[in-house]
Amino acid sequence: MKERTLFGGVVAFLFVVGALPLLMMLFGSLYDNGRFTLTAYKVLFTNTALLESLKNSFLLALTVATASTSVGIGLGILLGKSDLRFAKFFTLMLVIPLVIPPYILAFSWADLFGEWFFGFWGVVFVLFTVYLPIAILVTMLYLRQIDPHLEEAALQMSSWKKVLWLVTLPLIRPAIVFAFLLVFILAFGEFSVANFLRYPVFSTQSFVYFSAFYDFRAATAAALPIVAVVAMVFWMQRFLAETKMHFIPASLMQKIRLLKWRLPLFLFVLLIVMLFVITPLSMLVFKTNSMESFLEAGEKALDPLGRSLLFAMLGATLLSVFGFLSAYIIHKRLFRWYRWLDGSILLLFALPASLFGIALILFWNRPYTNFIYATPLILLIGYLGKYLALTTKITETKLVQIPQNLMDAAALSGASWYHTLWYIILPLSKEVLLVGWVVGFIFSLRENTMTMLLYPPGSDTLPVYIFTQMANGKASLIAALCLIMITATLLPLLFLWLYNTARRRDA
Amino acid sequence: MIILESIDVSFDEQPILQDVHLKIADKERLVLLGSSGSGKTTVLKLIAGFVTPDRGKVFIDGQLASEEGKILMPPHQRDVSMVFQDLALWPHMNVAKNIAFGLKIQGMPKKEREKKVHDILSMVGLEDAGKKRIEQLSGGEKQRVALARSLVLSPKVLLMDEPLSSLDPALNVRLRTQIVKLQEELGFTLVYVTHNEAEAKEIATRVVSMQKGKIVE
Ligand SMILES: Nc1ncnc2c1ncn2[C@@H]1O[C@H](COP(=O)(O)OP(=O)(O)OP(=O)(O)O)[C@@H](O)[C@H]1O
Ligand SMILES: [Mg+2]
Repeated sequence: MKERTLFGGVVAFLFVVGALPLLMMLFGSLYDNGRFTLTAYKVLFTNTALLESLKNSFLLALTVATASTSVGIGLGILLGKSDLRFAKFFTLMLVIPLVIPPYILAFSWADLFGEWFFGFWGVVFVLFTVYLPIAILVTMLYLRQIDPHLEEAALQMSSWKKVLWLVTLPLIRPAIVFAFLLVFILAFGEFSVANFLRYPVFSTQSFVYFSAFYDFRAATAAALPIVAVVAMVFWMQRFLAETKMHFIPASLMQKIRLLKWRLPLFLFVLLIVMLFVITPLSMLVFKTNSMESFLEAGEKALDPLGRSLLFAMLGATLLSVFGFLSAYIIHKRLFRWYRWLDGSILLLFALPASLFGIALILFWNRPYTNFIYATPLILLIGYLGKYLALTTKITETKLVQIPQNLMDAAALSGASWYHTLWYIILPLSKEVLLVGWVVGFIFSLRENTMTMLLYPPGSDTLPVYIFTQMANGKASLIAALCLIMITATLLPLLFLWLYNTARRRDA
Repeated sequence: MIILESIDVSFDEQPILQDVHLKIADKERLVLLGSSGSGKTTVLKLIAGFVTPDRGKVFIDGQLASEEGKILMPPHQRDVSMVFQDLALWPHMNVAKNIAFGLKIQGMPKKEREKKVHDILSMVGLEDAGKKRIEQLSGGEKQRVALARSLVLSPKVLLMDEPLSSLDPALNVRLRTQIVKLQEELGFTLVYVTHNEAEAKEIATRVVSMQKGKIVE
């Protein structure tokens, strides 16, 4: 088969999964009984609650992004570029809030602080701890790409304090912008924390519109301001495209020697880990308080957990396969319009999950597509569309590092494109495929906004089950369920870490 | 016979090759000599079919292989092999697998493949290296594996891009003579790129100099 035929098929499939439902929803909002009309869009000017929620979302996202980015860059430099003790362990700990469902943290903190935690600052605090790891990881990623000579040259003239300020920070400026935009977009679309802490934001309000009034046209119209977010995504993409991923081996990287600051900074990071990670988790353990509530939770969680794991594994597999395929298309620029594919994948990631969920309902809820809509297939489609950006970008970081000559050499040996794909590119991408799988697994597992909208009767997942319990369940039971959920999330991460350490020892 | 006819190549509007004419006869050892950035690698990639000319034509054995903006004959149909400047050995395959790759693609049975790999390895003096991983090899060994990988396909034309530049002088000299000997034994056409004049003299039956994208004989 021709390369472009096969990959054209892949794109067509992805178009149906992601773009088509959104386009249909957009057109649906513009037509009433077959006539073009903008009436649905009046809601944007008349509905003050919705407008208010939009403003709230904006302020919230701005605050969270500012806080996470500024703290995250500092921590990223400490953890990724200094001789801080236990830096790897701390990094791993700090990532935990990102990978578990965020409302679990909201639940735990609210339980600790009580009523006054509800509202704007509570949401800001929880989302800050949730997205802090993104800023840390992005900073670390960019630090790994600084040519050590640049810093070495400056270090001959001046101390680290100045070099950091005058050389290192300017070099990772793209990381700062990128982390800020990413956190902004994610915080803008986050649903479950604001919902739990009863703070009206855009994604909760548009959800209400849909589920309470079943007025999808209004919901779509209300989403129009997201166009601003979209514009930002494309802007963000430019930063991504401009950054060539060339990783410097960790051994060559210039590390900051903290000297007399080593102990105080160690204690400082320890304190942060204790506060942001250990505290909420111990709260849950404390709250569970008895083996019995744990056993009860185990019994109740068994079915939803089984489904969660199954869906997450299938989702992860789809995500890692299609992430690879789309990264291949984008990297090789197989089609002249490859940027559209890239942009759409990022857009789906940036859109609030509730919106995509609604689009999927409108698109698939028809008698002849019930084999998808009324089965867990709809969830897999949701996960694939929503998180494809993650695995695509992860794979791309590897593809840009495979020298063109390796592929040209294969071509000269008589390899056609699929030989090269199968024997050269795929084996060289094995590790990122695994990383992509784990990331896909974690994000499919923790998803609950779309899942809540889409799950077929009797197929609720553990996050959805916990979420419904939160409305009226026993606190001890909920805490125990949360612990089970956290364990299920962290296990694959632990495996990946062990695998990595073992592999490094081998090499 | 390979003919390059009035070739222009540019990258990002930047002219890289300008009005290049070159005829390469069968079984000759042509050396392209030129300083860094003069366009030597680009000429090799043009012959191999990885670079498209903006103007001009490439003929291989009388057939039009590339012309203005088009590659008419894909790389694997040109009966050309190339030893890349960075060698481009596949890091996830061991030495034997690197060499056997092209044979496997052709569908040669395993037994036959193994024998051929063994023969070619002893020809380049690496009888026992078949099972080694690429990163376990020294610079000179890698060099010879890359050469073996190209030769095993018995190409009509072998392109070599500064293959010895990273080796120490003694090894460099030893391998030069080996390459000449192999070429005489096997009778392929050799296009050899270097910026080292001594190397050029020793290997070439004909030397062509390049400067800033032009041929200046
Ligand atoms: N893919 C590319 N994109 C843009 N410019 C390129 C590309 N490949 C080569 N060039 C430019 O073309 C010019 C000639 O490159 P080429 O690699 O052919 O030189 P060379 O003679 O092989 O040099 P060297 O001895 O350093 O290998 C250089 O100025 C190089 O920067
Ligand atoms: Mg070169």
